[in-house]
Amino acid sequence: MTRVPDPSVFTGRLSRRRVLGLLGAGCAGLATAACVDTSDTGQEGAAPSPSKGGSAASRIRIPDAKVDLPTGKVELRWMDSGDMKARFFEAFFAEYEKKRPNISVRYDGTNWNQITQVVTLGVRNGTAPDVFQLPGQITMGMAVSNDWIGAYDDIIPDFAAVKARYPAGAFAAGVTDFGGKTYALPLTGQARINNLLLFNQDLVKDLDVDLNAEILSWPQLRDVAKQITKQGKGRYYGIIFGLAQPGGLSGPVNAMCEMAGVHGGADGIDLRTGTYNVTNPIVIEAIELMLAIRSDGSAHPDSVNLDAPGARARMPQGQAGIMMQGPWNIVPWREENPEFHLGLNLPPQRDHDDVWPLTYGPGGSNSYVFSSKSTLGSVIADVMSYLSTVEGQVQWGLRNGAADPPQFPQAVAKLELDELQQKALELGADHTVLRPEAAVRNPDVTKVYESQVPAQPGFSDTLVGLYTGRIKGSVEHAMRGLNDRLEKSLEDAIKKARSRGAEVDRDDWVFADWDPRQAYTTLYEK
Amino acid sequence: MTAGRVRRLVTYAILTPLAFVWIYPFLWMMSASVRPNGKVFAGLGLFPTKWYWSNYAAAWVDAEIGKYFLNTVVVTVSGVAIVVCTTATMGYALGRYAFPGRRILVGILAALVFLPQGYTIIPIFDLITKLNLDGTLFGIILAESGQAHIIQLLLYAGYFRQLPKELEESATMDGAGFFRIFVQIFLPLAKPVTATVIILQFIASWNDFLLPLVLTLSQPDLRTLAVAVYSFQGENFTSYAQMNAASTISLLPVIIVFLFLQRYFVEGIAGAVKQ
Amino acid sequence: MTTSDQVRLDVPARRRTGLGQRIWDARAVYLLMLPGFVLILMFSFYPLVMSWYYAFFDWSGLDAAKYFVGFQNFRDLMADEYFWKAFGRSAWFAAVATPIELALSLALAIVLNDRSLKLAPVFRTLFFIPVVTTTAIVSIVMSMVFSSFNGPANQALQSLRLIDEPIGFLTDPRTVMWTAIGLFVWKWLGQPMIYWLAGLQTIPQELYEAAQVDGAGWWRRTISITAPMLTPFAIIITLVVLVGNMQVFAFMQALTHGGPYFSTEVMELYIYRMAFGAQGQVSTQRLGYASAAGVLFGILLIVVAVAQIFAVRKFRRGGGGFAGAPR
Repeated sequence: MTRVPDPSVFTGRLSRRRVLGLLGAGCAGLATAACVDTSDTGQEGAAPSPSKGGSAASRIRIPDAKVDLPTGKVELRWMDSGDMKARFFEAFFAEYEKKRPNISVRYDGTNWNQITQVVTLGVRNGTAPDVFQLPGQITMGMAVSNDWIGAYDDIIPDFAAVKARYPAGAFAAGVTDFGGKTYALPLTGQARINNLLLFNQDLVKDLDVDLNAEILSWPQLRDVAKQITKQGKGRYYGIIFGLAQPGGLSGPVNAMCEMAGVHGGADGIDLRTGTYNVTNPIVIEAIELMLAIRSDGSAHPDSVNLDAPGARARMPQGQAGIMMQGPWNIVPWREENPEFHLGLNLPPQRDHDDVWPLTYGPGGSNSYVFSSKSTLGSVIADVMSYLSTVEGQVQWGLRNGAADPPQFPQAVAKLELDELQQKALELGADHTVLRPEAAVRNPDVTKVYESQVPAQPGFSDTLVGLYTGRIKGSVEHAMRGLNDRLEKSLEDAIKKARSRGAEVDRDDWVFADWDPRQAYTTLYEK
Repeated sequence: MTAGRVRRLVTYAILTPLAFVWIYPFLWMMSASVRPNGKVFAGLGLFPTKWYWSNYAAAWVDAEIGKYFLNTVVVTVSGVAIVVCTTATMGYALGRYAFPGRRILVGILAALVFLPQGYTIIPIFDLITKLNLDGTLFGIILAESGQAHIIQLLLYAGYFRQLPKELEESATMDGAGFFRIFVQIFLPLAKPVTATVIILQFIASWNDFLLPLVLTLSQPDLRTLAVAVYSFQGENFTSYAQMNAASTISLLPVIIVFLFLQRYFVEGIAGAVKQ
Repeated sequence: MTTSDQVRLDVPARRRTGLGQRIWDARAVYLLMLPGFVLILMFSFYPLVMSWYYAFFDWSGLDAAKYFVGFQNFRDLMADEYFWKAFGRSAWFAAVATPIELALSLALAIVLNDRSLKLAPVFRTLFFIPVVTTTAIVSIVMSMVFSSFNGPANQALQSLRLIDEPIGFLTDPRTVMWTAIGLFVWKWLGQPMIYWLAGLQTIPQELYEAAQVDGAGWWRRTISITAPMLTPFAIIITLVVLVGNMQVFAFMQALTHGGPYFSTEVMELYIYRMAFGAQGQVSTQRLGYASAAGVLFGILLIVVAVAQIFAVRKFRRGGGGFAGAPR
C-alpha cells in the first residue's frame, strides 16, 4: 500500500530554459546594482616578499648538512600558528626540499584553537607533528615531565655552541630548559609591540594632529577617534576593535597601561609587590577611556562581533581610521590592498615624559619543540641549526618582516625592510624589555599554572562585559570583583599545587629588586 | 482555472525573491571565490568586475584539494556503506522481530540520542589508537560510521515494520533462510530509506572536520576536504577568497548527490514513518 | 493495510518458552545485529561510559587521569552560574527555534507540494542549499548582512522607516540570541521541509479530490485531511529537529564565539570553554570538569525528554506509536 510519490515533483519535466529564464529575471534587476569592483589591485603576480631588496640578494642558501640525514624518503611534519611565519616557512621549505630531495616537509600554519586540539590528542599516541608550538594550555614543564617533547641537546651536535649564539634571556630554566637540557628553541624575539597604533593615512590626513609624527596622548585618542568619525558621516568610524577574540580590547588596554607604568600589564601581577594590577587607578582610567570612545559613537559598531581576522579585514576597506594591533598586518595589507595607505606609531601614552617599556618573559615569542616520538631528529637538527645562525635569522627576518622579529640582535641589525616595517622593528626594540619570571626562580611554580582554574570572567571578558553594558556599575567596582576572582584563582591553585607536593607560596611572585626599565637578566645568567 | 493560475503567479512572486534571499550566502560564496582576498569584504554584490580564477588554482595547489578529494570520496563512500549496513540490519531486527533484550536495546539507543557531542573525542581517539587504526582512512571511516545513527535506524525500523508479513511467509515457503530473506527481499524494498540514509550520512561524512583532522596527524596525506577548507583560517589572517574557492569545490559534489537522490530521499522518509 | 503489530510478533512464532530457548530461537536476529551493535558499543557507548569515568577526576585530558575527586566536579557545576545560564540558553534556543522551524518548514512544504506548481522542484532544491553551505562561510556572510555599520538588513529596515537607529543584530547582547535563532532556522529549514514533503506525499490525492467534490475549501482540506494524516510524521520530525537544535556548536562558534559577553554561550560552547580554556588565556585544560558538564547536561536532557514523553502519552493516550518504538 505504499504510495510511490511522483518522481517528477523534483526532477519535473520543466525545461532548463524556463528555469534559467526565471532565475535570470530575478537576478537581472540586481545585477547592475550588485557589482563589486575587484579591479585595480596589485595582487596578481606580486611576489610575496616583505623586503624591499632584490630577491636574488635574499635567496635562501641551505648549507651542507652537519648531521647524518636519512637517505630514504621521509616527511617532516611541522605545525605552528602560521600567519606571517608561513611566508618564511613556505619559501624556506621549498628551498630545503630542493637541496635535500629525499626530504619533504608538510608545513601547517593554523590557528591556536586547532593547535590545541591537535597537540592535546597527538601527544596521547605520539602522532603529534615532528615540530610544533605548545599551546598556552600545556606548560613546557608538563610536556617535558610526560616525555612528550625531546631535548635539542640530544639531536643537535655541539648544541652548546648553537645555544651560545642566542642572546641572554632567550633560554631559561623552568621555561625552555629542564634538568640542564633545552627543550624549546625560541626562534623569534619578543622585541615587538603587539598593539601598535595602526591608522589609515587617507582618513587621518585632515586631523589637526599628524599621527605619523606625534604620539597621541590618552585624551587625544578619544578626540581623534571622535574627529574621524565626524568626518566619516557614517561611512567610516574612528577606531575598530575585534572584541570577539580574547585580547581584542584587553590587548590595547594592557599595552597602554604597561607603558603608563602598570608594571606587568593591566591583568598581570606587579612582580615588585606580588599583587594584581587590575585595581590600579591607571587601569581603571584606561578602561574608562575605551568606554568613553564607545559611548562617543567613535568605535566601529561591529567591533563587538568581530574576531581578529574579521576586524583586520575591514581596516583596509576604509571602514575605520585606527586599529590597535600588531606589525604582522603591514605586509598582507599592502599586498592585498595597494590603495590602502597604512601608517603606524606607538600606542597612545598617558604621560609622554614618563614612558615605561613593555615587558616580556623569557623564552621567545615563537618557541618550537619537537615530538619525542619523532624519528627525524637529524632533519630537525639540520633545520634548527640553520635557523639558529645569523644567516638563517636574516632570511627569517627578510620574509617574516617585522611580524616576528628575529631572535638575534645581529640579524635584526642587518635587516633592510621598508620604512613602515623598519619603524615597527625599531619601536619594538626601543620599548620592550625582559622581565622576571616566577617559574625560573622556582620551577614548582609551573605546577601552580598547571592546576589553576582561570577566573571567570577573566580580564578580557570583563572588559567586553563593560563595553557591551552587560556588567553594570562602575569600572572600579568591576575591577575590584575581578581582583577578588584572580586572587582566589591563584590562591586556590597554590593550595592545590602544594597538596600535590609543590613547594610554592605567594612570595614566589615577588622580585623586590625588579626595575621595570631594565632588562632583568640576573635571573637568567648562570 | 484562472483562479488557480492567479494563485500560482502570486506564489511564484512570493517564492522567487524569498528563494533568492535564501541562497544568497551560497551565491556570495561563489562570488567571493573569484575575488582577490583584499576585496572579499568590499561589498555584498555578486558580480566581480574582474574575475580571479587564481583562487581556484591556489586552493587546488596550495591546499592540495585534488589529493584530498579522493580521500574524502573513499571515507564518505565507505562510511555511507557501513552506516547503511549497520542501520539496515539493526532496523530490520528491531522493526520486525520481538527478541529478548529488545526493550533494553531500544532504551540504550534512545539514551544515546541525547548524548551531547564534543567531549567523547578523547575516548574515540584512544580507541582508534589501541586498534592500531590511527593514521589510516579506515580509522576515520570506522569512527565516523560507528557513532549511533539513531534517526537512520528508526527510519529503517519503521519502514520494515510496515511491510506485509506475507513477504516472509512466501519466501520461507520457497525455502529462503533468514539472511537471504533480508538481503534479497527486504533490503531491496527499502531502497527509499537507503537513499535517505545515504544523503544524511553523505552530508555528515563529507563535512566532518575534527575526526579526520586528528586521526590523520601522522599521515597528513590522508586528510579530507573539510580539513583543507579550514586550513585557510589562521590566527590573525584568513585567506577568505581561497577558503571560498575550496569550499565551493567541496560543496558541489554534495549538491549533485542531493539532486540525484532527492526523490528517493522523500520517498524513504514517507515510507518509513507511515503506519 | 496490515497492522504492524501482527508482523512484528508473529515471526518467530510466539511460544511459551523459557528465556534461554527464546534467545536461542532469535540467534539469527542477534547475529544480524552484531556488527552494528559492536560498532555502537565501541564508538558511542564506550565513549559515553568513559566520559562518566572522567567526570570524577580532576583531569587535564593530557596525561593519565590521576586525581580522583568524587562528586566535586558535579558540586562545582551545581554552583557554577555559567553552567546554568548555558543550560538555560540551550533550552531556550531549542524551545524557540524548534516550533518556528517546524511551522515554517511545514508551511513551505505545503506550498511546494502543489503539483500544479511546475517550478516546485527547483525551489525545493534552492531551499535546501543552506543546509549544505559551509558554516564558517555562512557566518562570514551573515556578519556582513547583519552588520550595524552598512549591513543591508539594517539599511532595508531604515529605508522602510521601521527603525531609526541600526539594530545591533550581532552586537547587542539582548538581540544576538534572536539573530542566532533566526539564522539557525534559516540554515536548517530545508531539512524538515524535505521530511514534511515526504509526509505530504503519503496522503492519497483521492482524499483531496473527494473533499473538493464535497465543496471543501483549501483551509478546510488542510485542517481535516492534511493535519491528521501528518500526525505520525510530526512526532518523528519534532524529535529530529529537537535533537538538531541541541547540536549547534559549529554554528554558534563561527557566528558569535558565544559572545558578546557569554550572551550566546549555549551548553556546547560552555563545555568547550571548560575543556580547553578560553583561547589565548594561559590556563590548564579541564577535561574532567567538561566531561562532568556534558554528563550533567545529558542527564538533564533525558529528564526533560522523559517528562515530555509522559506528558505526550497522557495527552494522546494510546495513539499510534512512532516508528520503531515498542509499545
